[in-house]
Amino acid sequence: MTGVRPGAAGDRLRRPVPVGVGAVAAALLVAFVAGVFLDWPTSALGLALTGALLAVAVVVGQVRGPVARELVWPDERCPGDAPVATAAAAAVATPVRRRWVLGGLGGLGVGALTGVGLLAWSGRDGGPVTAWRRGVHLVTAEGQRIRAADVPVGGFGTVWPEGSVRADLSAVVLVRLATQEAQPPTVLDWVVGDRIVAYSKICTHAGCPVGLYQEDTDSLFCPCHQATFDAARGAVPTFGPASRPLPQLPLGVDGDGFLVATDGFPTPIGPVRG
Amino acid sequence: MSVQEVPTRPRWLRELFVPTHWSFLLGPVAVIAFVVLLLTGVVLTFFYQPSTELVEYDGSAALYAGRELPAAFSSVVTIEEDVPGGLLLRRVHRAASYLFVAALLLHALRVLLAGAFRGRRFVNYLVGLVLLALALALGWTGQNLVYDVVTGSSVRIGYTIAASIPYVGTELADLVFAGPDVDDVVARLFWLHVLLLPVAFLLGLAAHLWLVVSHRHTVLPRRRDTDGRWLVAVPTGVGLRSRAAQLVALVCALLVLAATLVPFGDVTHIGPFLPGVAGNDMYPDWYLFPMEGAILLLPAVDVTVLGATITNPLLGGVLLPAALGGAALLWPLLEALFRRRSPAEQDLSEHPFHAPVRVAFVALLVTVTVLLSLGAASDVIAQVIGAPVATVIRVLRASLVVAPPVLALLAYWYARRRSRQQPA
Repeated sequence: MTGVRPGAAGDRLRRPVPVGVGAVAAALLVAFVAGVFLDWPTSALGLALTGALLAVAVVVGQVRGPVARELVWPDERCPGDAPVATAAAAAVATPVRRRWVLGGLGGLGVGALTGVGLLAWSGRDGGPVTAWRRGVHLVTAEGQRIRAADVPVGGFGTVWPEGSVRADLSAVVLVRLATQEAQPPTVLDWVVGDRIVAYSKICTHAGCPVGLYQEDTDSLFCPCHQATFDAARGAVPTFGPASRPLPQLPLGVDGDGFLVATDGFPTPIGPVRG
Repeated sequence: MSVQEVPTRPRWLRELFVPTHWSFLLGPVAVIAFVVLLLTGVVLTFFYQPSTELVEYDGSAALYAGRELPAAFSSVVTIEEDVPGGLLLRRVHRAASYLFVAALLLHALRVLLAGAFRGRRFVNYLVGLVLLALALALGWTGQNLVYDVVTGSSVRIGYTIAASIPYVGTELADLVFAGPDVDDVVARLFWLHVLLLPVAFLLGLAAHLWLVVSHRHTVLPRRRDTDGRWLVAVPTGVGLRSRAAQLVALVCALLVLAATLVPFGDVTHIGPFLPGVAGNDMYPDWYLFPMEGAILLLPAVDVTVLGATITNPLLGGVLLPAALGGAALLWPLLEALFRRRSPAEQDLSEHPFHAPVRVAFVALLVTVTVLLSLGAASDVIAQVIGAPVATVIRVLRASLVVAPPVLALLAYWYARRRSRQQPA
């Protein structure tokens, strides 16, 4: 054993450099606490605390002993401890533990099966419910009804059922097709003026809002996972991970020229459930 | 030098803190980061409100003055702008979460590559995998408490993945997330993040560390004795406490410095979640990229078998991660069948090159994970290289099939060559 004397660490701590660094640490720490109360900018607070912690690391480093490791046989790693091989043998030789483990695993399995059964038995609903009904008007986020004639090319990113603005799952994307008239499999009875169509805004892949409309290809596009839908052809998926079209909202015009839903969504909106 | 002269230190410290190789410090770094997360997290709960009710923001951020904000987002803005030191506190919490997950992943990689999962340590390897899953869950629930624009999509994706599980998915998702409406989810995630998951992690961590001490840490082989036995490097115990304290101080300094220089997770300019709103650049934290990339890169699937509908979120969000985790879980069992070693040798930390098949397996896992992560950023890649997103996705799909086996073979060949140059 080289160089470790009783009190060696203490001796080194009393040298001038560690004392100085320790004083710096204390000063910076005081500055940090004062800074929190005096509302200093984040950069000043952060730098003071960083400096204090680094100074602490330096001081603590002075206590470090010179010998950190030695070479021994694996069995002699720590004097007084049982050799590893004995410990391993003892662990194998206690069948009680195995019984506990197996029992525990069995219990967990039974519990999990019960849970799964209860969940499956608790019944399933028919998907999320939206606020769309026959005669519900389409409104903007500000609650304004929308005239069919006022829908610009490209349309509105998001419209809502009147009375349920910002009801998340009822969001609808309203599109005036830019390059072509709507074609099957779009339900043509639900298209206004050959070009105005409305689809659920909830992506059928993972449920993100379908955020983008590309005018040159008339496609709707989900920014989360790049799912792409053909707005002119019933919003069937054309690229990406979505497997089903966006449900089309039955669209019509009331006596005053405002857009209105003529029914609820024909199919459940949102992602397919397992 | 006789062994008896070494001043004894508590055995638990000698087993838990083994500074004979830098890679042995990854676990301790993760524990330090977790303690920092606990401490900063407790202070953050004093100011955070787990509610999505709209309130009028009356803090000092000019951008939101007088606007109606969800209470959760509003309280996060208040923490950043008006709580003394709050911005630094939030950033340290966020930076610590990144370091926490990174250190855990690298620690798991070290354990895999060095064969520290063999023999009796297999049990603890399983506990470690559970801890890794809990850490990812902690990260996901935490980042969604902010209730910014990303939260809406992130929560919806999480719900969709859970609901895609056949037979029980919808009920399970409703149980965990309290329903498909994003509004209902935040309060539930709050209790998961501040109570259930941290307590579960603490219990798992206690078991993990107790098992490390009782199984004993693996040791670095140094050279062979004249009779052919390995000599190993072990810390004597001298200066161990001060070294551990130094590591704590250095990790904390690193976190505070990083938080000072990098605006981790600042929300001021991101904006709150409002229904129907989606941004173009919405990404989860980096450690969720593999899952995000998996549901982006895998093709559209819609098959019904025995009343169970198999879709892309099920394949990419549930089955693929489960396959990766399952492979990591089963690997030690495979190795125990085909690569038997004596108990004494299992205590040695192996050089990876001496187990070429294991290196190939790790290369396979890492390649798949990295390619899936790239998939999550495919639109950014497309922007950078100026190619259509669809092309980038097709190329990544192809490499997902081709690259992992090729790189695994390359890794096997390289490791074998190295191990022949330097036989054990």
